[in-house]
Amino acid sequence: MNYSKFAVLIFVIGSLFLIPSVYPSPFFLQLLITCFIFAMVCESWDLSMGYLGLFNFGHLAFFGIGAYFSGILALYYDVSPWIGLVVSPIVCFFLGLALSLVTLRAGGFAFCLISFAFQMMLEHWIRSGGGSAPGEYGRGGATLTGGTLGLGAIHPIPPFQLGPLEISSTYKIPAYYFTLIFFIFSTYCMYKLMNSRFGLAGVALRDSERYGVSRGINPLTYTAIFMSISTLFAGLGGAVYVHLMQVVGPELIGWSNLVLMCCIVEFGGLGTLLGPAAASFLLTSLTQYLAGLGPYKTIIVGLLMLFTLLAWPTGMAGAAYWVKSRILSKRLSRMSG
Amino acid sequence: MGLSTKTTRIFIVGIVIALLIGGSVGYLMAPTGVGVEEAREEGYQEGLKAGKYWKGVIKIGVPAPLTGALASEGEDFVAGAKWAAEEINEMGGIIGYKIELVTGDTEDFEAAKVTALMEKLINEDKVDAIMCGYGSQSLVELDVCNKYNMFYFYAADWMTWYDKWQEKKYPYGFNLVSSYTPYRWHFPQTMQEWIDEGTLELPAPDNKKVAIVYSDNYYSSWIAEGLREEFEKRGWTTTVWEMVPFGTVTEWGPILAKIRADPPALVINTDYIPSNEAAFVEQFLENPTKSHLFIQYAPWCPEYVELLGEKSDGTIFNSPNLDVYTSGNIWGEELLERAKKRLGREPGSYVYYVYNMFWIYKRGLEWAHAAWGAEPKDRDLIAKAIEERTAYIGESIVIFDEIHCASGEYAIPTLYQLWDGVRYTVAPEEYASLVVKPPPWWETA
Amino acid sequence: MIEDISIILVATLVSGSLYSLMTIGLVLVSGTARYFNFAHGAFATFGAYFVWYLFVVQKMDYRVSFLLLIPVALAVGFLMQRYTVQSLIDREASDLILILQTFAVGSIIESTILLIFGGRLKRCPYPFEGHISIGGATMSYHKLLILLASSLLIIALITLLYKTKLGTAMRAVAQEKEAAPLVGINVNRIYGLTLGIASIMAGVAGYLIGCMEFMTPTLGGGLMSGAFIICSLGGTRAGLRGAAMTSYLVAFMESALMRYLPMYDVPPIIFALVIIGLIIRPEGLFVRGAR
Repeated sequence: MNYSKFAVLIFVIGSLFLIPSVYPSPFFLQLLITCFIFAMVCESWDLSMGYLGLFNFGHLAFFGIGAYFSGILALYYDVSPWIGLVVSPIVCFFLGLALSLVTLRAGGFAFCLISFAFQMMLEHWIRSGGGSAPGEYGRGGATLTGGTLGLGAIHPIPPFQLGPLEISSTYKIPAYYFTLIFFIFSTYCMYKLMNSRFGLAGVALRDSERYGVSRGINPLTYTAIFMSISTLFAGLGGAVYVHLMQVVGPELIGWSNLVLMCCIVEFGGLGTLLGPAAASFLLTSLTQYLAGLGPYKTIIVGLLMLFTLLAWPTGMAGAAYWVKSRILSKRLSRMSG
Repeated sequence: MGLSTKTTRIFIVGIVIALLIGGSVGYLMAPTGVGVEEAREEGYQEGLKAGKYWKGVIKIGVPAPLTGALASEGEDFVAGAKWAAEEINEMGGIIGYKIELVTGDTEDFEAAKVTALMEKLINEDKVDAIMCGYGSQSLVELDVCNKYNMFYFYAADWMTWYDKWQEKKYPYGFNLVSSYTPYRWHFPQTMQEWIDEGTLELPAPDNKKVAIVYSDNYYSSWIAEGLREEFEKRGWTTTVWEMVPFGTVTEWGPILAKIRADPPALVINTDYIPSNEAAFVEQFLENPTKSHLFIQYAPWCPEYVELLGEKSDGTIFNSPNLDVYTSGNIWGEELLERAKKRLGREPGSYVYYVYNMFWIYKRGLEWAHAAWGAEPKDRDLIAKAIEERTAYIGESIVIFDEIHCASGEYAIPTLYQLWDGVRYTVAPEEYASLVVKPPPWWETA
Repeated sequence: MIEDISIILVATLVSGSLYSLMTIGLVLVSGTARYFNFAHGAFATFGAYFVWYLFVVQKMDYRVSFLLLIPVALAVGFLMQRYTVQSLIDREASDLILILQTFAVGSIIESTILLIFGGRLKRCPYPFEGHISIGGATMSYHKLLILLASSLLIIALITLLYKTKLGTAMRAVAQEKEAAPLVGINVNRIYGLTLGIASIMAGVAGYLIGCMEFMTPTLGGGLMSGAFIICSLGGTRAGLRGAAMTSYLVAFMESALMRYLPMYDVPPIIFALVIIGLIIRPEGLFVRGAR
């Protein structure tokens, strides 16, 4: 890791930390909170789609599972959100492990469909309510997941409590730092993972499975564990989301969000970590700032994606690389000229 | 990674086109008279003519699902808001202030999106009130507005949130819908009265069978269960009790087959989505049974009548409020004509709801201004005025009860029947403009 | 019992024909051009609104509006391929990026339709009113039209693929993309034409559904999800026959289940069956030979 990269990183992180003192607009902070959470989910999606090359369309389902699981525990069983924050990702890990072990043997394309069907079924189940709510919450017909109305619509889901400090979207500044810390933590973990021997084995599998196998990497085990780690971070994102927003609905894993996250991952650049993070900021803010324009918003975003992909098929990471190489080549020519 | 000049060119051209489109769209979409300065100038000229001057601008935020599955409802919110704003501005605004709208897209109602939109409207655009049909399914925006003491006018059922609103007050939230509970008992009660009095006949004297179809969401199933309970209490039997998935349903064949197997006196469908209901009625009419037909909510939407044409004749439906914009009511019919002229089409129910919100706000601000010298930013005084004074919706008096839901004379449940695209009030008797009749397919069934 | 059978049969034929129109388009593109066209749903929506506009707004004869759809849809598909996707294929972009690009085009088309026509429900009037009874099942003339139109289109497609030079070229590209240029086939043009044909089929399916259901700009989305699932079940390399057979199979399962079970439980069961089918035979039900 060279010093200029390190310096840029410190600069970026530092400015992220300083934002609330410089520009404490609640709207902008809320926007960034959403960006961080989506970035966590998209980076982990990139782990399975980009690094491993798996067509995994069910990733968002784990975002939902993480959110709903932690939310249900906190709302109906009075479990502290901090416990939910730890338990939810672990549950997602094992669920992801089970799912991958069963379906990965079906091969690339079928896996894509099965994961997509899993997500659609989950959304369907959430909308249907999943049975009645436990205990006295169940009187009056309240369902476990809240159905279309959402979980936490009537009794809000408890937020994080740090002593007297409440961390929820009502008080933007603590929530902002909370999400920022989790975002940095997850990105760092994923980065470490990708650059470990474990990560390299995964990349080897993607690029040349037969050769990888011949060198002793068991494809099923590695892929399953990778998938589970990516679903773990998705679950973490979900748990953070649900206690901050205090309400969650089935639209969280619906078509609109699926499209947004898919665009973020691919636009950002498959196989990079910071690509999806940057794309998350760009696309989420664009969608919000243009929100007054209705259908024009979708058209503008669509056109933006169309032309950017035409110019750089690898997405924004490719664009950044191009910019960097142009700057470098200019510098070189100046030096030699 | 090399980049050909051709691709660079495509990219640059593309970005320029996108910016041009975005820029011109932004320019065209900006409300006319944007900004206080232009409003002042325009208002000054108009005011010179009318003898008044604009004091300033009142910004009203209208969050609506402009894209996504519910785009047609979102269109209605914005249409109602534009209609009210134009009309009120033409009349000189509210205490000399011009109304300006700020719209936002809530799309799929996801909590983070809606919260961010609310924060934008309140803190960035600095609106004076927020009015819409509903900002999300879970009403998460109520809490956000409450934090900033911002007005939130909306139209959504209060039954679901009754307990919550008893504990936590939303002093700046005003709900233009009264309780939905009458949806459960008013029709069965009225139906039985009609039969006992001989106003409406059953297809056969001993046929007290009802078929109920509902969809898998709280509104639809809760109403269906209530209807079933109330009918069975009065000695009716439920021959069909079928649930369909929530969403688009186009194939009603299997359910209709079950209905036709044992023809009931009454067929009820509470899946309120207009396209589903229209498909249901159409397929029902391919081989109708000699039954009355009751449809929940959908007949209020203009497309129900547009799409079915004369097949919509005879449908019975209801409302929890005394909706005046129906036939036989002078004020209502005149309002309908005005709406049609402004919108260029028939309005859906949310157009009226949002339209009424502006007038309630106007009345509150005018009173607060006259009594206590309030300005648009004195929201506490305006809220006090709305609470204490009665308002009008049409010619019925509306008062807001302790959880700020519309009640009073306005909250009288009513039943309607469609004939020739006109919604005639058929119950209660003192408001009726038509005696309920058997539907046209009874002659051929 | 006869009534049950005829109801199920009618529903199977009608749903199956609609599904096959959509699925064949997808399979054609994924087999020949080798990517999933996520703008397929948008093509269907476009077809519906295009015919609606000519028929209802411009008051043209319905036969003319329908016939005009064919060249216009062909152009739309061809242009999309040529200008937005082709250069990505040339630069060997990953499959996911291709899908994303088609998705961007699809969402632009849908949003433009939303912009021009608004979100309110619309309906194409039926070209033919009335219905007939077959053994207890009522079948409207429109449903007969669906059967007729889809059969004609599929027959036309089969004739094109197996009896013309162009069709042979398309099959050649599907089998062996690298070798095709060696015999003088312009691969890019074939790709464009394939997209155009898929667009025609989707557009026709969209119009037919737009008469039965109500048209909103999101009409294509649901159609496309169904087609996507069926295409994957049948196998992307299953060809016309496989796609059609899978469509009718799924339509049959759906109709039979809906007759006897509450309508509500049917989608999860179909999903589950599809998943099981995929686990057992991942390359697709009707693909000949192993992976």
